[in-house]
Amino acid sequence: MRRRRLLAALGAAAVAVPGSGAFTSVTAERDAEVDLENDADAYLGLVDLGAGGRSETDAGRLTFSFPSDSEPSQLGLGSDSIYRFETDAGTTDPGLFEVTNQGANTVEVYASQTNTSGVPAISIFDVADPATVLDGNPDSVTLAPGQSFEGGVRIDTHGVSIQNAPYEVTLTLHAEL
Amino acid sequence: MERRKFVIGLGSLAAGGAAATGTGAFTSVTADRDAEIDLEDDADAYLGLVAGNDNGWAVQTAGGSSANGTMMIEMNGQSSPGGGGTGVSANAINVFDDVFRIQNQSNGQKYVWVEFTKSGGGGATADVDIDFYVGDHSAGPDSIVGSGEAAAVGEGNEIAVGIVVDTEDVQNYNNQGWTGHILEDVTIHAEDTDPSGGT
Repeated sequence: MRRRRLLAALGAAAVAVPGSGAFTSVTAERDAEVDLENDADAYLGLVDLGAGGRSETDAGRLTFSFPSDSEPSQLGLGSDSIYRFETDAGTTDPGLFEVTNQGANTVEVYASQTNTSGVPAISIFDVADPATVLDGNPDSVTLAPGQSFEGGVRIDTHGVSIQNAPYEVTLTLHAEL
Repeated sequence: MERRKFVIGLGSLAAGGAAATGTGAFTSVTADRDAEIDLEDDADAYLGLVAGNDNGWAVQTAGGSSANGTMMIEMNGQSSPGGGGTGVSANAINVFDDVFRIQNQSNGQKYVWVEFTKSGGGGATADVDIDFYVGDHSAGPDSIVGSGEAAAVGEGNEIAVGIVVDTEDVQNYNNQGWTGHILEDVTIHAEDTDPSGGT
């Protein structure tokens, strides 16, 4: 079978081996191949839905814009409000984006925002259950490998001052065992 | 289990040779003697290397690109994680607990550490940080990269090794042309003495 013999010649067998199976050191080099992928192909798959531009894949990365470039530029979010976006602009198809578990383990998916002070608070929800904010505290979506959900974006503008320049915020998506 | 013999002689030649300065000195001698060394696959070697529980899917020991019994880590299109993904995310912290296990199937405690080689992968290698660690990442990763970070593994024990791939600095995946591997190989070291000099 896989039993192979290597016959080596090294002096006489005079040195005692301290017990069976001891060694002083071993160095073993192994191949490791890790590929970097865009959002659509990575283990946590993120795909923008719709062509209205509220969700887009920019340089391999899922991004959001409210309003989108396809919407009148004078539009925007009102202050002291909570907005829920379940569709892209110009469509009634559900979902702004799709999250797919393309990995090997069942994961809990939710999103968080690192810095919320003075900026709009952004979170996600499953369009099948828009009332539940998926912030991991405690709500999340359970995805087995191959499963996905269509997501929407919730934006809370309470306590945020009106300004001309868009607010740039970062949403962090988590997929955890 | 099968029993393996490890009979090898080293040292008698050197001891004898030191005194051999009179007549009969020689510059070199080649003398053939028998020694039997069984070569085992990674799972049965004194330093055992096997797939972990949580993310052992990324380890090939047979089939795939590695059909020869040695461990290979594949987080690419070759491994089959079930969901169909072909790699780690850009602009993210990719955490994989318990990818493989290093087993001390020898006698006595061993100090184990790893080295690895990053690869350009077509993009900016400096934007990717990779670490190998012991245990759960959420509990605070305990790196075993470099001799100074060696972990003690008792006789008959094993450690679960995870991999974290931090690509937070990769913000323009498409523009940088990431096409190849960002990690090429990993070298696992096991030694009798603590290479960090500690205890």
